[in-house]
Amino acid sequence: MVALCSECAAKENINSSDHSGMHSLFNPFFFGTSASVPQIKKCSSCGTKFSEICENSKYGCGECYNIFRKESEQYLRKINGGFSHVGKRPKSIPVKVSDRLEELRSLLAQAVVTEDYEKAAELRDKIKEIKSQKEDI
Amino acid sequence: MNDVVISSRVRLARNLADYPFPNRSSIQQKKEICDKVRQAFCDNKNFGIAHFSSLNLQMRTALVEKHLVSREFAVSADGKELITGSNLSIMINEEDVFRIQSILPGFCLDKAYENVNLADDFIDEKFMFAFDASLGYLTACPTNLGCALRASVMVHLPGLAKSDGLESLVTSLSGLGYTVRGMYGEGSNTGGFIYQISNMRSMGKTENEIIQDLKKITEKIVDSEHKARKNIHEKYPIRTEDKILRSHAIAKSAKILSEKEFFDILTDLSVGITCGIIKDISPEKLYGTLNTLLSAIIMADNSHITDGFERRIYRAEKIKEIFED
Repeated sequence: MVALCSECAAKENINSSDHSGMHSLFNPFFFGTSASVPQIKKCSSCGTKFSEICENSKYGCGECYNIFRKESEQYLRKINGGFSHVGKRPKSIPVKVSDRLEELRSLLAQAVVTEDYEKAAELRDKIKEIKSQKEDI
Repeated sequence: MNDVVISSRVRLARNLADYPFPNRSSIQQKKEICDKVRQAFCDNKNFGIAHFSSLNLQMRTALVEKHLVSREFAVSADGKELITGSNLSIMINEEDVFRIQSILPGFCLDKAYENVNLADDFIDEKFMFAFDASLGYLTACPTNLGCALRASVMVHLPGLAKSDGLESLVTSLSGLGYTVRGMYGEGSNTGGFIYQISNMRSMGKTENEIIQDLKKITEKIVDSEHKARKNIHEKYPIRTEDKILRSHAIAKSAKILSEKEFFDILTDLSVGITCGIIKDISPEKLYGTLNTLLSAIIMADNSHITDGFERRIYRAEKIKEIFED
């Protein structure tokens, strides 16, 4: 079972007295049986256990996101609405074509959700354009 | 707008690629980070180093009341640092290594973002951030992933609160991905009908989209608050005007003013400005008193004031200064 902090629970519209929501985020359903819940797995960089992340809703370092990517995929998708990052990035990390495509696809999904069809059409054209350029290369 | 929107705030969270997040780093690592940050900022004249560990609890509490640091950050000082700039503060080793925030009076979200973005660019040149192409800036709490940006407006909503419109507002804001908190953030009391409204998530939107969306929402809230204030005035004209004018008289004449009375005056005068009853004060000056006349700020800024009685006298003296000639 995972315990969410009050902030995260509020963000998920989960009433603090309603524990059914918490169960659904990290419950054994996603990992098969309860015996296979990876409670002992540790982050090789900072030593945080996955069970600690479940308990505190706090990651210990950047590497935790990489090491526990599979385990927390469902949860991260739920709290972030299934979207990917589309904003600013550090100067040292160049934009790859695949990242740009992922970014545009996420913006397209967002535009569809908000029923901004004009923007969705623009984004679809941009995706096509980038894809055709990629094929030309 | 400025008779409802007290201030605008934008905050970015950043962590370092080669250090654990503060919830996992040792005190030695935290101090090491503080040393590196001080070194990075010492030659930049746009920023100042607060030497946070040398500040006592009262000074740190005053920083909370000025909204320069969070309540959690002020509890202890070891392994922490505060960098200050013009309308900008950077908390080092709060929940994330860098919490860059800019607060501006009134409705100025674009400018507040511009401030934090410039500071972020500067730090980006000196440090390697923890970042993932798909998850964005990596933060201790996964709800901050993505742009790791929280934009908020501090709004004064006595009209909606008194006409029972607040509950439905909170519900509809929550459905739209916004959260409503008290004056000092998470878990704080909603003193004097003052609330903070901020985005819950920053994934799947660009920084500019987050800012522009909150601006649109705020404009609607301000519109609703104006209508609620005017409705109350129309429904109970004599009682509303009497209350406002009494507060006006107290603010101009009182010799002793408690913090509770101060908040009541703030509310009545703000409603009075909206309804055209109060004309000798600007909302900017009125809300500016929140940065000078709260208890811990008075104590920290005036070393000669030693007890609550002197503080209330000082508050009564100073509130008179907001009235225009």
